Amino acid sequence: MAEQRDEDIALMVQRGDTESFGLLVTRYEPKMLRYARKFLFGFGPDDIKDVVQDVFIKAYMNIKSFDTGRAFSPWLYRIAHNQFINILRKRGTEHISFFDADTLFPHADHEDTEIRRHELAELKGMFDECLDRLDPKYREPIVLYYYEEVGYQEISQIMQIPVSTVGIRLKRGKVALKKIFDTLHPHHE
Amino acid sequence: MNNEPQKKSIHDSILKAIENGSVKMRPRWYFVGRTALLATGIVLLAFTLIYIASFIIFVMHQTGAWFVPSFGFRGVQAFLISLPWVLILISIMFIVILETLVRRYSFAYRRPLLYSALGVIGLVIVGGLVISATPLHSYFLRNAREGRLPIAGDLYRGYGMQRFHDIHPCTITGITKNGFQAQYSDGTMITVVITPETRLPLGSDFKVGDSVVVFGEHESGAIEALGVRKIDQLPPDTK
Repeated sequence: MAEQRDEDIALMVQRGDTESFGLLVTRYEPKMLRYARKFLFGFGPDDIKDVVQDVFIKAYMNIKSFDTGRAFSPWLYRIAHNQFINILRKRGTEHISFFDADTLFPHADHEDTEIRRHELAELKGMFDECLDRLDPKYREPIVLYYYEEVGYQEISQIMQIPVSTVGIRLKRGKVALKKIFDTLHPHHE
Repeated sequence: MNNEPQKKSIHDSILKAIENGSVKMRPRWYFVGRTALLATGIVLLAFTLIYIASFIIFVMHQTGAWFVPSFGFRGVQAFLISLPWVLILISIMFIVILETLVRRYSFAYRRPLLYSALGVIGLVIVGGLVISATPLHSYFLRNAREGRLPIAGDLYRGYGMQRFHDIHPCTITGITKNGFQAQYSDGTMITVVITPETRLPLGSDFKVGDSVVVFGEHESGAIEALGVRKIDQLPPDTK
């Protein structure tokens, strides 16, 4: 039997079958934990767990705003994004600006899933070591694209930025990561 | 393996919170209401902006400042000085708020900010030009002059009736050897002297009854014009 779609489960929850929300939690918990761990550096495992728990609680509270004709995943990631950004703002150790010049002008963009897989295999060491030093505005699309395997369109929806800006942030993020890596390993070729 | 107890814990604590009622689903009307409120806010803000833009255009026609950039560099200078900057700053502030609200919608945030900002500015300017071409503001100004506009009366009297010392909207009442006689909206007469240096962007074919804007310093009832141009007609209240 085919697995039930997230959107169908969400519809059941909207109609009052609150137990079914547990299915969505089970499906998305590992993804949300990974997203939180990679994006929110400096938080302990318990803090990460609390943050993810809050994401699901917010998702449950707002589930009636979800349009079941659309994909569930970007909707949940959007809630997580808002929650994470609020936490980073509250903590105040990293600068999160309200305006970003990257979103101002159009940029050329393209997406290739094969390149993504190849790059992740190649750059994983660098990502794991340097991601915490990267500006959050570049870190988040890198986490979503390379670790969560979310496409440009969905990242645009999650972060509410133009699709072309997703491409430019990934590109600039990788360049910045390489710089950080080279600073940490000056003799590395 | 290590994640199992943790996974179970998040799952269980959420379901427990749902079960004991400490976490509740927000009703659909809450979201419908919020969406309606946002949409209403956007529409109201857009109308307010269009109204302010049309008022700015109306005021600039009323004072004659709209036409002076065609008199060259000094005209552009006079134009910039005579702009209602307070209203323009308020408009910019409203545009920023409107843009922020509009960018909650995917049709706006999926495109570069420049596009949606230009869209908003374009809408405001076109809307402003359309509204300023209607008799709406003239009607309000007339009522303001007669003390029958309680709310925006000061605004219309303050901006609509202001005069700049070097911009003169008037109507030609007689042609002279080196210029013409003209009359302000309040009936005051002036003599306009045209010299070889006077800029005449739309030509010098002036006749009695023409509505004109004269650019130049007013001294003892006469103006040595730096520029003169015909305009379609003076706004009704300046005639």
